[in-house]
Amino acid sequence: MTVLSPQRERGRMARVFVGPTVGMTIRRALFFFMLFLAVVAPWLDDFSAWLPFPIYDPLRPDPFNPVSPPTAEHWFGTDTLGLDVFTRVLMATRVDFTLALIGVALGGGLGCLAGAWAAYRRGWVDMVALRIVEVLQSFPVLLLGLAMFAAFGSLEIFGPVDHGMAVLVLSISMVNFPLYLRQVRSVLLPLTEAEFVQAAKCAGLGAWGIVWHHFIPNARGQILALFPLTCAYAIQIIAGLSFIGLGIEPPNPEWGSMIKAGATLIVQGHWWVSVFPGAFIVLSVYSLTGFSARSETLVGPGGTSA
Amino acid sequence: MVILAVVLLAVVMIGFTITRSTGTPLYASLGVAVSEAIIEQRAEEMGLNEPIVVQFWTYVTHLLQGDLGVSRISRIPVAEDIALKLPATAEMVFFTLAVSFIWAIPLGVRAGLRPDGKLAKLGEGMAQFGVSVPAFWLGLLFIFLLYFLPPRLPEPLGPLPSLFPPPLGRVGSGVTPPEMVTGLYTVDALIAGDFRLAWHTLWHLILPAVTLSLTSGPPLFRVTRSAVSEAVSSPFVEAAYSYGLGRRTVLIRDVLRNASPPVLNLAAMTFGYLIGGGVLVEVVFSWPGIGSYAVWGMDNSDYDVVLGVVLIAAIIYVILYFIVDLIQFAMDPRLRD
Amino acid sequence: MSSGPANGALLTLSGVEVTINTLSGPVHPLQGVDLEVYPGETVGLVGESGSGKSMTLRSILRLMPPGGAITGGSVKWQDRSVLDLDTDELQAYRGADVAMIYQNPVSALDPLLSVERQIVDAFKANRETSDGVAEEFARDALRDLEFGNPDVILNRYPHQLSGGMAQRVNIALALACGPSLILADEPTTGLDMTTQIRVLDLLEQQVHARNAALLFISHDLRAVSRVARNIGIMYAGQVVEFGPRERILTDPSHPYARALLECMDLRTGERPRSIPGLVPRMTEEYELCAFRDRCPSRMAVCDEERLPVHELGRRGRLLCHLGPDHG
Repeated sequence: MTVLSPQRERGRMARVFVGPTVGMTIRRALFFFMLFLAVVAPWLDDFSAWLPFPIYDPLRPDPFNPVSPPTAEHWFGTDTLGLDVFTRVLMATRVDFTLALIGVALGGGLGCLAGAWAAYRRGWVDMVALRIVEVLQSFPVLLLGLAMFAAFGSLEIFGPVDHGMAVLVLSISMVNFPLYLRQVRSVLLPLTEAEFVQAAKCAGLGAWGIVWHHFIPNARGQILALFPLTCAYAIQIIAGLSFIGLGIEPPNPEWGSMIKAGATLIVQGHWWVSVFPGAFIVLSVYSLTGFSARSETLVGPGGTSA
Repeated sequence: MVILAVVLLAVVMIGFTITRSTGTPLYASLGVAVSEAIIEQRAEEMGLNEPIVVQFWTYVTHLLQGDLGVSRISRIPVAEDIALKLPATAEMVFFTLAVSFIWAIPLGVRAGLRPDGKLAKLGEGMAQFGVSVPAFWLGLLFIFLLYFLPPRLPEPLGPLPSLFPPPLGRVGSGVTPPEMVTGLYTVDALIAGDFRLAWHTLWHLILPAVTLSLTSGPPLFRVTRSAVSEAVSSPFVEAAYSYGLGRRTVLIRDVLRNASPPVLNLAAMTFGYLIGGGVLVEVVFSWPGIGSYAVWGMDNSDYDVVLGVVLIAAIIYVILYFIVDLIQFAMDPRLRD
Repeated sequence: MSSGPANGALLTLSGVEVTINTLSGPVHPLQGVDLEVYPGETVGLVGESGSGKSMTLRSILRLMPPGGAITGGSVKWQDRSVLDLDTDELQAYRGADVAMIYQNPVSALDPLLSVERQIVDAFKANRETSDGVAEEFARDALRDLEFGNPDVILNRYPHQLSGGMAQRVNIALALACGPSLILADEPTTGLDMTTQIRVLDLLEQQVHARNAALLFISHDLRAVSRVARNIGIMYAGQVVEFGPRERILTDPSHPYARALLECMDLRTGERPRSIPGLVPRMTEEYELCAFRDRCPSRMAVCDEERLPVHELGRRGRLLCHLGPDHG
């Protein structure tokens, strides 16, 4: 009897950077470049002398230079307060990436465990899990976010954590939980009867032991394929909610709220305030698709139409 | 059927929990600087001191009677407002799907039949673009590119937008909407026999519909592509050719028929999803639908409004889910046994 | 190689080559297939999986998988070249002249259409007629195929049929086209033993009742010898030996055919053995004999010269350096 669980060997690190096609490798490089910018963004100011681009304080207005079009001093121009759009877009990369990552990791992690549990126990546990998935997925994503903000409207329960950010993260988790649950469950369901699981049972491994040591590793490929897609999706949701004023309060830099700030300017022909943050959303989502081997999208209620 | 009821009940319970968990409606409607006595009195009036089960029962019975509460700002029942605004959203979603059926489905069929063709690459490119770009930003970009980027016309004509205002809202300012029959302006205008108005309302629909279609169409394209390519490589398609059936016959009789269930399924899901998922595009194009209404409620801390919209969208979605099941059932003999 | 003379043959394949371009490079499933089928006769083709049996049938109908093309040789139907037919002519040729029965009977039926609809469509695709006549034909055909209650079966959908029933429906579909030649691609492989025999007998009986020819392929020499009068042995995309059933079953010349006989244990009654060595890779184009690495009678000439074609009297053929008269 085969008692080894398949797919347990680890991929090499290089695989993360080099994709199966040239296009995907380029997209990955783009992603890591943006990630790098997001990580170092707060310290860029200290090194401004070495940077090819001028960098500013993202929160200090310049009343003498409002709504300036892109120039050598302000690569992406300035907004109504004279804030430098370029600096703010970089800082926003940090905010959006972080929130997306935490939200997806939280909701996705719980979803994976719940999915594995449902696949292992089957029966009524599976039934309940599926119904939860259906209920959660019957709310359009943005409305779910709206409802979350309505529910947590004035409940100050997050202590020192920023209220808006906390609710954003929770909304992202709520969206991702059913996606991961469903995916992991469908991968693992056929495995319940697999020989190595039976062998593990015979060897006296407990339920959580089996879920942890055999189920989760076998779903790893699926989870890793879903992860970049859901992160990209999360970025769009965060930006979308901020666009209607939920989550990150201006003047804190965030792509969605920056687009909103620029929306009134764009109809006066001052395009740069909205266009650059939007372009960064597109770039980040596009670069994340470089990690997904299959060209698939999240479909239906989990679909991307933020 | 039972599952449908369970899901609906759960949706309603979540809605109920959210309203009660906020604890804010009283402050929101009365303002913060009111005495404890007044709050207590209002709470009594609103039944907030009843046991939670009784409150839930009241909530459900009201819901069943179509009572979603009253907007605290406009004092109009939420259900009435939603009934007024739902047709606007529905019209936008209808046209979005129509646009998707024009590009996503044909390209998907073509890509499924000829995976290496130019049209397949075009479709995949559009899909890549559509999933990467946020709809609200794309909408803004369209408005800017089409109306504010073109150079000013020579005096005395002045800037373009003052001559051709961008088509925001359901009708331009100063245009009277058609008499309400279905609530869909294009249809109502046709019913009234006013073709100019029908064209005008259609004109206002195009941009939001194209924007939403570009961003919600990619899954439709990809599902169509994979369904068609799966169908076309099935043994029964080869068999059909070997019996001497023509290319067109096989395409319609076997390939498209077998590929259509997942596509129809997704189209219905997209419809249900866009009812609530087009919020941001509604905001960008000043479209007076339920999405804008929910955002308006959110801005004013008018949570019954938000909740009403959320519930209605979820219920529509669940019902569509059920209808899709019925359609699948009718189409696929395998599901009937 | 014979060049397909107008010798009364219904179907003549000569030197047919097929290349399929896959992601991992080209594959050559057929590397020069020669074969004739005469009116009303039954021909069997035997070979391991991957020897090109199914591809031979597909090349006859010009039904190529994605990336596949007939890259050499000729396929003649009577005296017309099948490879030169245009789309309309090809459509007319398929079904009306040659029809095919598939290996997996359930998946060869459209899951969303009733049995009646599928038979009627196949019937009408090949002649000018009315629905009524077609329905009448469908009912009769099912009765001929020993369905007790044809009307019930007509209203069924493929998933409601057992494997044996589905295969009989497939036979009805092929018969509905009214062909002069029926191709059968391992038609009994998925069925259990008793059903296999029944389906085979019905197939043979119906084909003969309609004066059609049958080209039957299988990896199972037993099944082939049950129906075919002439048998071809395929190896690595070629028909390496062809001849009357009696000779092939008792005294084949090709070493591979002998090995096949031995391992199928038709003569000895001993336990089946396997042929030593590896199945040929069809990514390679074989200039020389493809069997020589496994051949017990390998000679120096096998590594130097291309395979000779020995014509063995009336309708026999051998592709081997040994020639027909050894051992």
